[in-house]
Order: sequence, then structure tokens, then C-alpha cells
Amino acid sequence: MTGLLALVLTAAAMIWLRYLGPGGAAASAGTILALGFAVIGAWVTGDLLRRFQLPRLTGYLLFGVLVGPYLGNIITEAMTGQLRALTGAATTLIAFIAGLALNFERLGRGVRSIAVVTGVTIALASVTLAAVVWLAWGWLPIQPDASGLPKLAMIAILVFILVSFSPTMTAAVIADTGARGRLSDMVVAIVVLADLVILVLFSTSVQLTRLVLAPGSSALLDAVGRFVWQIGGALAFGAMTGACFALYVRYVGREITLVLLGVCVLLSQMGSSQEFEPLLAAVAAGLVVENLSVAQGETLRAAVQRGAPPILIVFFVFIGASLRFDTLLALGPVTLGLAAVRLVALRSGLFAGLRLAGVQDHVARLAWTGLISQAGVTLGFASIVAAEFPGWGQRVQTLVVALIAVHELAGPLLLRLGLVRSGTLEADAPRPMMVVSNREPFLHNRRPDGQITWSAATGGVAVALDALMRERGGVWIAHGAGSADRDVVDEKDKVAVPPDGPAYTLRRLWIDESTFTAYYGGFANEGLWPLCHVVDVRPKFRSDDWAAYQEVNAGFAAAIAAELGGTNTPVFIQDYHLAVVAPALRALQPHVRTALFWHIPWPYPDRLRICPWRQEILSGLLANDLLAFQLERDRRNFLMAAEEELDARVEHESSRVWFGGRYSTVVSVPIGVDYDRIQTMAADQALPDEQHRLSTLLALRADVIGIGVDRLDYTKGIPERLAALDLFLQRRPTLRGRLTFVQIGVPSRSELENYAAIESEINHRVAEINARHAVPRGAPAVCYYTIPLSTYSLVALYRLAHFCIVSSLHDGMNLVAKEFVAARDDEEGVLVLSMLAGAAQELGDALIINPYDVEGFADALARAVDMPAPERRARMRAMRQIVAGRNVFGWASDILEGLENIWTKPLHYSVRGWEDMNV
Amino acid sequence: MTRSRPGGRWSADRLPVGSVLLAGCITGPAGINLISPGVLTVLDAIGPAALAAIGVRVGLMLPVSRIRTHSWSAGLLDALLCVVIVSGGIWLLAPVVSPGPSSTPVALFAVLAAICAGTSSVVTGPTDSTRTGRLVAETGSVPLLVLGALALAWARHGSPGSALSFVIQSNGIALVFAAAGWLALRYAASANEQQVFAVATLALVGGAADYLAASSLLAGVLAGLLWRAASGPAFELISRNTNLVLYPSLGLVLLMAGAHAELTHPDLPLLAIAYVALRTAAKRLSGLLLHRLLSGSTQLLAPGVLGVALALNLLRAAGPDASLLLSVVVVGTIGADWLAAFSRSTERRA
Repeated sequence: MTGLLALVLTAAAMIWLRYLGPGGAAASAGTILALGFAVIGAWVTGDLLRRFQLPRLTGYLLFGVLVGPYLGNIITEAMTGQLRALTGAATTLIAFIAGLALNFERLGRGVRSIAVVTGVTIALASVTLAAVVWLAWGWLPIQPDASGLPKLAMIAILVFILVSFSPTMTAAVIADTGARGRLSDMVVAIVVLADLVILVLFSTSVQLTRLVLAPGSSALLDAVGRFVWQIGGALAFGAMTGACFALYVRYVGREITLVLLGVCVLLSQMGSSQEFEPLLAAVAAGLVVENLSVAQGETLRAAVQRGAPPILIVFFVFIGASLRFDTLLALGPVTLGLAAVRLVALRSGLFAGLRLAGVQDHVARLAWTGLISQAGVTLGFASIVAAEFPGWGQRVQTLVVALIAVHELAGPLLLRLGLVRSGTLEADAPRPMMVVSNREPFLHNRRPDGQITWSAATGGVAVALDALMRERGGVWIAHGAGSADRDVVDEKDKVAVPPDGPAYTLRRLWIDESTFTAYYGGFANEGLWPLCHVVDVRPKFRSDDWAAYQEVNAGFAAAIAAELGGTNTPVFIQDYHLAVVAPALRALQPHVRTALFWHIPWPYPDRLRICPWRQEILSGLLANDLLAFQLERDRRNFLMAAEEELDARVEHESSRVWFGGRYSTVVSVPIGVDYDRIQTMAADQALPDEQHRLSTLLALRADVIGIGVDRLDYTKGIPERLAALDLFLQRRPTLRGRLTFVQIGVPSRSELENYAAIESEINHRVAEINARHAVPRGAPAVCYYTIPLSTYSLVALYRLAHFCIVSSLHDGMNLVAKEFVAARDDEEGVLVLSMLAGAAQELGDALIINPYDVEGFADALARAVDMPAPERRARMRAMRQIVAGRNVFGWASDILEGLENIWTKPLHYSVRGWEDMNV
Repeated sequence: MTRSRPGGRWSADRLPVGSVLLAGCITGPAGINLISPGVLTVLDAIGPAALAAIGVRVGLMLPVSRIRTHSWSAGLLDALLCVVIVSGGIWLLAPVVSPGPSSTPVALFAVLAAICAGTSSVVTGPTDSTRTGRLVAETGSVPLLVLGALALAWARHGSPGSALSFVIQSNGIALVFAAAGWLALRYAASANEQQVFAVATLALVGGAADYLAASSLLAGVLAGLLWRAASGPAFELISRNTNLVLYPSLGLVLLMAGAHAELTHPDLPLLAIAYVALRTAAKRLSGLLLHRLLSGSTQLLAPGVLGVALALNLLRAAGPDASLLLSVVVVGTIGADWLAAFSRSTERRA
């Protein structure tokens, strides 16, 4: 709706503008306007059509037709003429992309059959079309009185134009639909290879036609020379440009998108000025880049994904706007007849080619659907003929433009149909996914009376992933930790969840207690956790723990492989407990798609060196296709570590790492909270009752209430928080008995020494502060509560508090900060937030403190208590906008979309799926 | 991946204006012809979007609700002084020079040159006085941009009434485009899509003004103010995405202006010297009058990009009639920029 409104407003303003008329000072006035209008309008139209399962490209073309000079006339003929200047660069870019599509290594043994199919298809289609055109020559509006050699030459040119394809359209439809399979690979390869051959055939026929129409010995020599130069010069210049470009990408690697566009302009300009075939040069350049330097080819494709869409959109709008429907109507019967003959000729040619190549399955027989589209290349041929042979050449151009109108509207629809029928693209099919985590989303426990009950995980991440799984279906693999977990699973250790409305499968993995202790308590929480958090706790690395960690990770990998079977379901792996799942999984299923989210900070390289198995962990993580961290800082630290420890090649522009013969994309995707759910709770009419209950339970009678909610962990800075509170109350004795700080501290990992120590220290400090600041009949300074509260109760508490403290000594994100903000739709409350928590990167309007600076921390508490209402509200409003804009569902789908977009990369480029990976 | 340029030498506020202009002069058709007339035609086509980007930045960064009355007054006083002194001085030179083709009246030439001269750029720094100086420069520049747009419309449409009506209508269209762009940005599904929509919106806002031969700069300022008023996440999005193209836009505008300058005009040296001298005198006077707000009297001397952008905008909208004006502003800005740098270093040494 928003997009449609934007489109309507833009169109209305354009009409208003046209009403006022041009100022007329500059010749190019209107170019940039038409450009902006084309991009926004076509983009939105493409999206609208997508909702009706139609290709976006059809939307771009349709938009061009609707607003073009021959229908809506919002984009005038003069503006269209100015846009034409861009099309030279755009067609070169298209040809370059086509070159990038041909990787001979990837095609492998299929090259031979592709070549046979392509050759036979072109040959048979050309012969069929030539015969039909010869017979129907008198009815074609070209030059009915031509005969003999000139007629033959004209027919040759027309036939090669008719047979030509559109690699751009084909590749764009495939990328647009997200299809990937044998049919899509085959179609792209045929179309690109065929256009390469047709380019040569077309150039040859143009030279021969010149010779036929202007006979003479000098003309013959001249024509041969020109032909050699057109083809040879184009190939040589293209190859040289491609090689230079590959070197640039390899050794400079900056602003690749801009340089790529510059190269396309150069190829286009040089082609025009030096009279060689620019499209052939561009294909050659793309081919060189793709086949001589595979790694650079990947980077280039990323650059193309970023830069190409706006240019291609403008190109398609231009084509749409140039479509003369009056011509189409006048040439209607001839056009439709030729289009039908072309379709039959291509289909027959393809079938014959497949038979000769020995490929006879039904998927391959659908490849004709990808050969129908015509656009830029065909239009380029027609323009050349019109320029070279005024008169009949211009009539050929008119006929070809009418044919393109038919083919570019029908082609994308047919290809999509073919993809659906081949099973490459299952329209409206669910897209199942697999989630792998240590903790399970639903636990089954046995009560003392023997009854089995279940409970759902309450954490924000678990809730978000559970919601995604409900929507998409699939399997969630996790460690079964509930006391009755074994009692409810089937023989394959599976149970349908959620128990009250099954939507997906939970596969439970059993880990014996000693292994679990070493894997989870040992390596993960006594090793990796303190390694990744910069606090005064030494990581403990024991080889037994590491062995258990690897064993458990391998167990997870085996379970994933078994569940995947032969499917290509994306796998979403959760957190630092499962760092080496991916390599074990890849050994079992090399083509699996995996993403791992690392929730905790990633240490800087010097600290990482503490870990004896850092290289194994790094290489294990790099076995994922997508690796996501909370913050940019973590992403940078990881990339540095990959370079230093593994000598991996890091491409900073695209944020990818080349290691072990494959790429991993590394991104930062800060996690959010379930904002809407918290909003609903905050607006619940029963919430005041819950607040009253909590006030009674916690004996809250102070005027000023502060709150802190944490797991009892040494990284949370709870002693530092209490020290600051102590100092603050010493400075402001008037608040004694009037201020209570509620500390909700949920014990965790208490069996570990460091955790037990911090619990004891907190107990001691709370007692000390309460004794020091006690006032007769006054409220206690600290109310310490160690029973976990539900999210609903927490929302109630957040809304009671005047301020909330998050004082982590180091934290990946800290969702308490965001939950507090989400709960305050009254725009009250002050957040005091540690600069060492990841949330501080986003919530700049909190009172940012350094937990190690106790005096500064106490000052911040004073500011929080004294803050005037307008400032308080302004800060909270600003923070709420940020928290609302990035909820936990967006986080999860960003990662999944990132993973799925990476997978579509081999499809050359995507008109919409071109987002860079810094989601 | 974008690189941040926090306060570095090449930050948007510290662009070496004079040097880039000079580079434009050298590489332009009057120089070594690297930026040939053909290339310049292509650049001219995208120039309005760059001008709109600069305008948007001014609008987005202007904290209208937080500016106190005395800052507005100071800005207006600075602008007014400069317009009066520079236009008066150039008008007095009328008997010895013949600026522009006969279709450009001397008075209009003088006023437009003075408007371009009135803009300033204060190098950002940590002190309050510098921040105040910056505020004065910004608040003074906006009325000058409005005045420039009105003068241009008046020159084209003959009467004040039709000029005002034209300015309102042309900027109304720009605001509708800005609103559409704001919606499109909210609709965008990814960071790169946002970038594309932001650039397309700049193209629409600048392109609409260009199509009507109005001021792309003013259209940009108004769009920026609209987005600022809308606030919230959309403001953040627009701010972030327009900032991405701001720096190339500044460089492009300066290069284009330099390349368009006609350095062989016989009256150029005298007019340029007068421009620099009068501007310096006006800014010094303004600095002295505002000494309570501005600790150093040289703070407003740096000419910045806005004057050049305005002159380029006039050339784009008015055609060759504004050619001499642009040349004077380009050469005068190079001189003023270097003079400001010299004054700053002298002041620091003192």
C-alpha cells in the first residue's frame, strides 16, 4: 500500500509538472527526472506484479508502456530519447553479465551437450525461419520487390535477428523467481552460448549484405577487413578489458560497482568509435573474468548485484516506453505469425538438438520456454541494421520492435511456467527450513504425580524462530533436556510441535550426562564464553572438553544430514555451542546451505590466540555459507582473525572470506526483541493487577524504583552496579528509604566455580548495602529476587520502574535494554546502559555509562533520577523508534533471506535479490 | 561497503573547495579538455540531482526548532550585509565593465553575484563559538537560496507575482516528490533498495526543478526540511542514504562549475577581484558586528560550496546568460577560499 501510494504521488507530481511545461533552458532537462521516475515507478510496479506471481521484469516493461509516449505520455518522447543515452551502457552490461554466466568449469561435461543442443537449435530454427520468410516475403513489409542475392542477404539478417535471444531476460526471470536447478542452468547456458554464436553470424551476414548491395573488389577486401576487425577487434579488446578489470578487482578491489559501470561505458563508447562489435567485446570481457579468475568473477557478480538493477530497470522501462503499439497493431497479423513460427522453429530445433545430444528427459524438453524472450541484444541488432541500411533496414527495425513487444511480454511468463512445470520452481510451495540449537523450543517434563506437561521456551530468539518454523514448516534439531522428552518422541526421536497445534517437527538428540557436562559446561561455558567476553575470568580449555564438543557437534551434523536427505532445505544453526557442526555436515552433504548466528561477542585476534583450537573453530565457522554476528565490531574482529590465523583471503567490499575452496559471507545482524508482543502485554488491561501483585510480592513501597534483570553471570556487571548504587546513595542520603533498586537475578550455570562465586558476591553486597542505607520504616535500598519471572511479569515490572540499569562488562547485545524500551509505550523511564553492551551501539539516547567507572556510573544514576520529563520522553521516544524498527522476526528473516540470496548467486544476478550482505 | 570519513580533511565540511574548483578549471574545456564538452553534457544531465543532494543536506541539518531568534537574526544580518556590500560594489563597477549579454541587467547580475557571495562555510570544531558560527552560516545561507530562486524566477517570468507563483508551484511539486520518496523509503525492503530509492528521489526533486528551470538547490532544501519535520526512522533513513551520495555530489558540482568557467572573458579579472574584496570586507564587517557570537572575525570568510552550487544552478536554469556570473563566482570562490585559509592560519599563529 505504501509503495502504491508513493507511485501514485510520483505520477501525480509528474502530471502536474507536465502541465506547467518545461522551462526549456537546457537540452538535457528532463533526463534525470525521467530516470528517477522510471526507477521508483518501475520498482513498485514490478513488486506489485510479483504479488500476482508474475515476473518483475514484466512489471518494468508494463510501467514503461503505461507511462511512455505512446500511451500515458508521462515520460515524453524527448525524455525517452534522453534515456536512450543510457541504453548503450546497459546493453553492454547485459552482454557482460551474459559472459559472466558462462563458466566452463561449472558446466563441466555438460558443455558438449549444451554446445550440440545450441548448435542444432540455431541451425534448425534458422533454416525453418529462412524457408518461411522466403515463402512469405511478399507479405512482409520490408522490400517485397527484392530478389536474388539481395533478397537472400536481407533474409539472412532478418533470420539471425529473429533467432536471437535475451540472456538478460532469461537470467533475470530465473534470479527473480529464486529458481535453481537443471532447467535454469541449462537455459542460461544455451541462451548465452547461442547469442555468442548469433553475434558472429549476424556480423558476418551484415558484412556480406554490404558486399552484395555494393559489389566490387575493393568493397570485398574492405568488408573482409572490417569483419575481421569487428569480430577479432571486439574479442581482443573485450578480453584485454576483462583481464585488466580482473586485475583491478584482485589488486585494488575498491568501488567495483562504479568501475564496472565505467568499463561498460568504455566498451560501449570504444565499440562505437572504433567500429567493432561492443556486445561481443563485453561478452568476451565477462567470459575472461569468469573463466580465468573464478574468485574475481564471484566478487564481480556481487558488484553486479549491487549496481545493475537500477540501470537494467531504466533499460527495461526505456524498451517498454519505446514500444509503438500503433506499429504493433498495424503489423499485428505478420508479427503474430512470425512469433508463432519462431516459437515452433525454436521448439523443434531444441527437441532435435536434445535427441542428438542424447538428452531426453522432460525437464530438458521444457528448455524452449527460456528461449522465447527477446530484448536488448535483438534491439541492438535492429538498430545496427537500421543505421547500416536506411530504407529496408528501418522497416526491419520496425518489424523487430513489434516482435520484441510480443516476446518480452510472453517470454518471462512462459519461462516461469516452464520452471514451475519442471519442478525447479514450485509455485506457492512451502519453503521448509531447519533450525539447529542446543536448547529445544519445547520441553516435556514429568510432574511428581506422573503427569507429563510441556512448556515453551520463552527467550526472544526461541520465540522468533518458533514463529518462523510455524510459518515455513521443517525440522528443529535440539538437545532433549526435559525429564519426559524421551517419553513423547517416536522411534526416530521426533515429536510434532507445538503440542497444542503441530506445525513442524522437533527432532531430539540425546547426549549422555558426562559428555554434555564437558561439551556444554566445559568447552562452551568455561572456554568459549569467557574467551569471547572481555572480563577478568580466565578461559579454561581442556582437551577432553574439546573432544566432547567435537563429538556433540558431529552428532548434530549427522542428525541434520539424516533429516535433510537429498533436499536443499536451508539450515539455521544457533550460537557458539555448535561452532564445528558445519564442517562435519559438509563432509556428509557437500552442497548443504547453512547459516550460523553467533550471539556473543567475537574476540579480537590477540585474545583469540588464548584458545588452542582457534583455527579449528575459525575454519569450522567458515564452513557455513553465511555467518552472522551481532555487531560490526564482531564482524571485523572475525575477518581479522580469519586473515591472521588461517591466511584466508578476505574480500572486505563484499564481506566474504575465501577459505578451503569456498566462500563464506560474514555479516552483522543485530538481534531485536518481539516488539509487538511486548506492546500487547504493555497495553493489557490486566497489567495493573500484575503490577500490584509484584509490588506486594517484592514489598515495593519506595517513591523511586530502579530495576535490573539479568542472569547471574560475571559478565553482567552486577557488583559494579551495586557499587555505583551504594555511592549514589551515599551522595544523596535524602533518597535513603525512598529509593529501591529491584535486582532480578536468575541463577545459571551455578555448578561452575565462577558463577557460584559471583552469586555469593552479589548476596554479600546486597546485604551490605541494605544495612548501610537502612532507614527505619523506609524502603530497602536493594530488593534482590532470584526466581525467574515470566515476560508478562517483567513487562509489568519495567513499567513500574523509573530507571533500568544494564551494566554489562561485555555483552553481545543485551535484550533487557531493548525489552525495557519496548515496554515503555508511556515514554517514561530512563535506561542506564553500559557502553560495553552491544545494545549501546543502537540505543545512543540511553544514559551511556562505563561500568568500571563507579563515580561516573553514580553520576549517571543521579541524572536518571533527576531527569526532567521532556528530556526523558524525548530520549525514550527516540529509542523506541529504533527498537520498533528492528524486531526479532526481522532479524531471523534477514538471516534466512541472506542465506537464500547467497544461494541464488550462481544465477548470475538478481534484479531484486541484490542486497549486499550487511543486512 | 562505505567508508566513514569522520571529520577528516575530506569530510563534507572540509572539502578543499578552491582546489577542486581549480581542478575543474584545469581539466575542463578551457583547460586540458579532459572534461570535454561531450562529457560535460552528460554531467550536466545528472547535475540537478547533485544540487538537490546538497540542498537536502542543508535542509536536513538545519535544526529549525532549536535555533534561537538571535541566531536567525545574526544569520540574516550576515547575509544582508554581504548582499548589500557586494551588489552595491559590483553595481558601482558597471561603467567600467559590461557583465553578461545585454539580456542580463547589471543590477540583477550584481544581486545574483552578491547572493552567491553571501554563503559561507564554517569549518566544524569542538568549540561553542565555532558551532555558533556554523549556525550563523547555515541560517544565513537558507534565505540567500530562497532569494536566489526568487531572483531567477523574477528574471524569467517578468513580474514578482508570477515569479512567486512559479516558485510556489515548482517547489510544491518538489515537495510532492519528496513525500513520495519518503513513502518509497519506508516501503524499501533492504538497505540497498533504500539507497536506490534515496538516489531516485533526489533525481526527482532535482530533476523536477531542472525541468522547470527552477532552483534544484531550494527544492532540495525544502525536501530536506520536510523530511526533518517528518522525523522518526524515515528521517534516519533519508539522512543516512543521502549522506552516501553527498560527497560525490559536492565533488561533482565543484568540478562541473570549474569546467564551465569561461576564464577568457575580458571583464573576469576585475569582477573576480572585486568579488573577493567586497565579500571579504562584508564578512569581516559581519564578523566584527557579531563578535559576541563569533570569537574570530575570520570565521565566515570560507565560501563553502553553496555559492558555487547556486551559480551552477543559475547557469543550468538561465543558460549562457549566467556564464559570466558562474565564472566570477568560481574564480572569486577560489580566491576567497585561499584567503580564508591564509587568514585562519594567521589568526592561529597570532
